Amino acid sequence: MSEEMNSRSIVIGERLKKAREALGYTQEKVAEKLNIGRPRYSDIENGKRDIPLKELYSFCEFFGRPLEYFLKEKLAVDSGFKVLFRKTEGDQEVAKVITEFETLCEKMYTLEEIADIKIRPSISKDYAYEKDRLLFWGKFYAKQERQRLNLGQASIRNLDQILEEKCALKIFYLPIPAERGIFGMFTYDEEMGGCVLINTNANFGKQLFSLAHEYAHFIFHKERLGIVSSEKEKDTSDESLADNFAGDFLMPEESVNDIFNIRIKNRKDLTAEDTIYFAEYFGVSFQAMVYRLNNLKLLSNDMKEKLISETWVNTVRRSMGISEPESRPKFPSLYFHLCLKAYQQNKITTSKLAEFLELPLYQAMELGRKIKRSVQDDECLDNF
Amino acid sequence: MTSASTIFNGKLVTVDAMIIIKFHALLALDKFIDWAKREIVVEKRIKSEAKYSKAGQIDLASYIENNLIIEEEIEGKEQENLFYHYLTNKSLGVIIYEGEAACLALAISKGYGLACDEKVVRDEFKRKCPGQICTNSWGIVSKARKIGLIGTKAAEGLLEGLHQV
Repeated sequence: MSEEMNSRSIVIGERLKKAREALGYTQEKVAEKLNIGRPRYSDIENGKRDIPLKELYSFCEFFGRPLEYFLKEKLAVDSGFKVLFRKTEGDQEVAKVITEFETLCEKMYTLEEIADIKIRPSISKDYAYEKDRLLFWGKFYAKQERQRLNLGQASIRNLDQILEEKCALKIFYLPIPAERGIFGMFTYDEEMGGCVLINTNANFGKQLFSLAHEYAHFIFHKERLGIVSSEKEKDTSDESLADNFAGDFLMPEESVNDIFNIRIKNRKDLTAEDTIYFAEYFGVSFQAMVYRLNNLKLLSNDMKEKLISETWVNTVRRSMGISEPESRPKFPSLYFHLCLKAYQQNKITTSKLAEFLELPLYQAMELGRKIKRSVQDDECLDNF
Repeated sequence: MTSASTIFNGKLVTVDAMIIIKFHALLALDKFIDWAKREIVVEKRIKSEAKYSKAGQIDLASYIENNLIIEEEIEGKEQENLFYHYLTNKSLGVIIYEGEAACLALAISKGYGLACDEKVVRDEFKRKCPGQICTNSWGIVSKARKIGLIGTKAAEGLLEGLHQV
């Protein structure tokens, strides 16, 4: 093997191992699934054997990774994802989502390199707190962060834009099977900064709450490198703190009291419709609003239980003219910006633009024509 | 060997996905394939890149089955090394896609011509294979007009259309 081929084989082998371990497969299993001998697969993974491109593509398909993953000399994101894969070990469906999350983060890093724009604000150390005063610290830091980010007391439906702009968080939206009870994930890497994944199988209000929750992990738990926020973990101190922070951050006590007093005035009973109105005002889910009102003692425990068990909330929401937006893009807005900038600067081809934006080529050509006037170069090359 | 009245004069030419998509969108893919009887080579990856145009689904497989265009795939060390080189090497100054790297690798290693609508790809091909056919969709229509495969008015319509797709 030539030196170039040799180093390529080593990189491919290392990545195969990483991709295999992320999915929790043994060498035997991969060899069996791809119908190749186990000793041969082992040689490939150990970088002792060059593999034909055709076979490399079959690995790409099997592991759900782009070709680039197996060829890039250095990956930008690594350690945080190792933690995520370890925390969800054995769950193939979730591992596939984490794989896509990792691929998107890698692509974002590549785009930053190509467009020569890397926004990395100075990152503070993890905020300190005491585990026996989680309610207090959640509220304390929520107030502090609102001030630090100049958010005042208003509702913050565009939290994703704020966190992208002010904290350089990379926020992606992907569906995770609902039955897994996973709301979001967070990874941190010194090179890449904070990356967040929000489960789009939840309603928009819940997604906003999850985003504030993952932001809490960013300010409190960077040293953990990777966190999976799930139903299963919700009673742990990390998750409780993040929930307390998110509640206070999205629905500050003063604001909730203000709007509560204006709407309820002298009425005794708070109805489901009132709660829907408040939830819509703050952009959170009905459930999050119920818990927050209860937490601020504006709603009795009995009423809380009653409201949580209501099944007609969505029907009432619709009748109040409140509807869920149809969908949201999976990429952060900066990702689009970097793609278009790289394209306008002629640093990527139209086909590469299509790949980055996951568009059919003809649609990328249409987009290219709009932003560059024409994707047709009029060079007359008929002298053949 | 095809007759001299074909667009590429009997030479095999690797064609990229954007050209296929543009001709299809202008409802002129059949014409292009007819002008270049069995001279068009598409690398396997192009088939999946050129699946749709504004005019709908593109069925390259049927053209291949009917022997109207030739499908080839990157294989062997020389072609694979070229492919990897163009995919990972930053010397072009522009990041190109797998389909474009495959077209380049195939054309260079097999001595084919290249028809591609990305200037950076054509420039590299011209540098590596100076004597070979190297053109774009604009050049294909202009040549078709020049050798009488299409009338002037129809050619002007196509050239104008190329700006819109």
